[in-house]
Parts: sequence; structure tokens; C-alpha cells
Amino acid sequence: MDEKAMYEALPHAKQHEAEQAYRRAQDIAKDLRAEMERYESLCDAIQGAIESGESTDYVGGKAHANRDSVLHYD
Amino acid sequence: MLAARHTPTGIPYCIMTNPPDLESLLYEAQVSRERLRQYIISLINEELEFLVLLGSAGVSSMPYRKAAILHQQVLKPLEAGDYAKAAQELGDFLGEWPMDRIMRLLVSEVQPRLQRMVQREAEIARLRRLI
Repeated sequence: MDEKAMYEALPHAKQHEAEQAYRRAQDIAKDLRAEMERYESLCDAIQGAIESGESTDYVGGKAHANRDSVLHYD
Repeated sequence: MLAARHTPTGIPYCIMTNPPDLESLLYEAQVSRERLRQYIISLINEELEFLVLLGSAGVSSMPYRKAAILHQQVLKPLEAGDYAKAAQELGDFLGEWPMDRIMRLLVSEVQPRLQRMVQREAEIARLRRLI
């Protein structure tokens, strides 16, 4: 049985809950798009700053690379 | 950078300001990265909720199995901050199942963005190594 058929087998109230989940997902996706644009802009600016020669060699509670993220900041 | 200002009588003018330094940019990017992670986790949680609802129809165990795999293989790596693994697992996972509407959002929005984030961070890491 495919997911559409399963959806249609749900009681009406549950279908309504599923629709609400989808609407919430759409709202989250909208925020995600906006944040991704911001993140891309920041990455562009970081690359620009690095390429213009600004040092990333900070010490003591400053920006540095780590295993999980090159953008890590203490 | 240019910043807009107004005189006491309301006449607009611009002043030159210093661009944000690299340290500030890295901090802002880290905050943005964390927000993105939270949005993606929220989207996955909506899909999990949807799958549990589908499973409650009781006609197939498929939604529950799908939810378990999504939780284990995508959500957990993402919660641990492993974006590359989450992107890879999401890509591998998606080919195996028919897609509902939220899953299509995960395919079209999340997976390419996770890949893009990993790619951008690799570019930045390479540039930083060159300094």
C-alpha cells in the first residue's frame, strides 16, 4: 500500500494533523531558505576577508578551526 | 562599508564604516550554522510526526520503519553536528522510499543545502590553510 492510500485510511482528525505537520514544514522551509541565504553571504564575506589577507590566527577564546566546523568559535 | 545617517534636521547622509572583521564574521556564521541545523532538525521532526501518523492507520509497518531509519541515519548525525554524514545518508535514504510532501521538502531543500554547507566550509578551510 502506498503512502497516499495510507493517508486516506487515516481518520479525518488525523488527516488534519498530517496537514498541519505539512504546513509547519513549509514554514520551516521558508525560514531555512532565508537563513541559508544569510549563511551563504557570511561565507562569501569570510572568504573575501581571508583572501584579502586578514589573519585567522587568533588565540584565547577566538575563532579557530576544529574537527566539526571550520567556522567554530569559542 | 556605507552606513546611512541623518542630521538633526533630518537630512540623510552616508558615512564610511569599517567592514566587520573576520572574527565577527566567523562568529555570525557559526550562529547562522546552528540556526540552520535547528531548522533542519525541526523539518525532520515534522516528517517523523507525519510518518507516525501514517503508521497509526495500521495498514503497514512501512512508515514506522522509515521513521526509525530517518531518525537513526539522518537525525542522529545531524544532532551530533556531522553535516556531511547527514547529507550523505539523506541522499542514500531517499532513493529507497516513495516520498510524501514533507520528504520532498527534505529532498529538494535540505539535502542540497547540507551538501552546500559542507562544500562552503571545505572551501573556507582550504583558504585558511593557505594563509
